Amino acid sequence: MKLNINLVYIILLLLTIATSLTALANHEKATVVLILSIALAKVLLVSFYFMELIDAHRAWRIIIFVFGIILISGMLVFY
Amino acid sequence: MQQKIPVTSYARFSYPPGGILIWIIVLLELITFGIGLIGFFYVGGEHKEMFHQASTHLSPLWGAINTMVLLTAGFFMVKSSHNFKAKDFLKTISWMSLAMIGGLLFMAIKGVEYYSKIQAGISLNENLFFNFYWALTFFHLIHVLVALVILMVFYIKLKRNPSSLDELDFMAGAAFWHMCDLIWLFIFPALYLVY
Repeated sequence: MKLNINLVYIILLLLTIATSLTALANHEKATVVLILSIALAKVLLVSFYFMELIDAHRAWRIIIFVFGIILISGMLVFY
Repeated sequence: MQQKIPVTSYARFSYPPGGILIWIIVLLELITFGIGLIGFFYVGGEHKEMFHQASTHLSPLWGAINTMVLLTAGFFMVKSSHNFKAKDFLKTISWMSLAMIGGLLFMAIKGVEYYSKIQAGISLNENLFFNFYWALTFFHLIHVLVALVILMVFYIKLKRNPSSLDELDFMAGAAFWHMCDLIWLFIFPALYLVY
């Protein structure tokens, strides 16, 4: 499903607010997982829609997705 | 009669938006910042209390505002790219100007944040948390500055002779601009929210 670019922008802003509010709760591991997962979702939205990877070869989407997963996992391992 | 070039899977892989070279740069930059952020978490895991204390000197509110400013500038750049492809160069310039204003605003907010830290005596040598803070955010700020210079060059080219600007070049510049968003989207939660 391809999203409208205006909708993607609004989702990105809402996710930013959601992340900031989540951080107010506590600094438990579950909260950190949620914060970093939202960050990954935003990165994927920007790369797929703002950078138009949604129309590119699927290998590029896989590369970005795998990179994001590895980075977030790496951060969580050491948290 | 013009011959149609078959769009093979290899060709599609070789030509992501902006071309393969800019995407190699994007990936290398993401890996570089990624290593820095994993290092930040590694050190943070060993000095959790100190990282928690140090992070209280950062304002998550201003971090969130700066994130929204950068995302808004990115959105304006998307609008500019769409208009460039439609060959509506006046709108391309208008949206790009707004994107540049967003970039400048981001730098201004960061400048105020840096100023307040320096006023409070928080330097690069304050502690391990601020080693990472200054290195990661300043390195990112340099990228935003470079992206602004690229857009400024595009702006001048579009004003003088729009046909002198190739679509691949324009998309590569736009990709560099958005790369700053990508990097910041990892830096913001790590530095401002997690600890």
